[in-house]
Amino acid sequence: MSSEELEATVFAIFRIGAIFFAVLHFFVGLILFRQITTMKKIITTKAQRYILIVSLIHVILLLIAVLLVIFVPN
Amino acid sequence: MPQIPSNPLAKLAEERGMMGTLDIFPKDVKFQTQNRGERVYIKSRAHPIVNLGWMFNVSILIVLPVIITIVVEALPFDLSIRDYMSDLILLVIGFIYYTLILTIAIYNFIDWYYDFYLVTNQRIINIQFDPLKHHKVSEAQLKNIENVTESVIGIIPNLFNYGKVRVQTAGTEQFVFRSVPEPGWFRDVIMDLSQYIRGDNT
Repeated sequence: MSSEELEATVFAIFRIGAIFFAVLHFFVGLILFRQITTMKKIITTKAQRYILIVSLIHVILLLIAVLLVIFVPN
Repeated sequence: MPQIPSNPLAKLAEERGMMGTLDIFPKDVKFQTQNRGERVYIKSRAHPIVNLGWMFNVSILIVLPVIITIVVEALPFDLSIRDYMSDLILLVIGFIYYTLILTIAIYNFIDWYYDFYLVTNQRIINIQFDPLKHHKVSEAQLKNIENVTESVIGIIPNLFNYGKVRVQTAGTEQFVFRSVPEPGWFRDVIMDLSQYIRGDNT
């Protein structure tokens, strides 16, 4: 195996790991957002809307991370 | 309708309540199982100082890449990661790293924020929220409360005046309110309200 092939293999493994992590992380963000909406039904406070907005921004950022990991060139 | 017995500490607690951790007669709180005519007297959650641990960890994680970069550049030999990865890939790694820190911060914040202790004119409610795992809502009628114990253990809880309040009900059930601000006042109010509901004014 040439050094270029070795480098490509390492990058491929690295990318698969990164995609797996980013997708998992995205689902964690989604679960947190879902749980916050559930808690909103259980108890309502004034600050909740801000927490929801921050959580939504967080989920969007995680989605961007997934897309970046998939589409960024080597 | 029973009222909170007049207590000189009530005003003090109101003034000391930080970030809504101890609200007396909160106007903005409604909960799912609230009965008609049920009024929230106290809304409380753990003292904000309990967040110091994770906030410190997150602060360290935020500055860690900067520290590593400074250390690597100060080394006498060349150890530049740019030889192996493009700037774009480094940017993506940095982006994922900081979103991970944001996740940790949000996780810990909502873990603290959604642990509510409510005292109404009918009952006490303990809402425990564990992000990614579960949420638990337990309640006890004020008339069934038999014994309330407070404990403030440790240097920091003594310094900031927060501690554990245990509420023993007529059954075997025991409520534990952790890191409650002003635990002495909290215990006193719960016991006074319980006696008031039972009509025991001795």
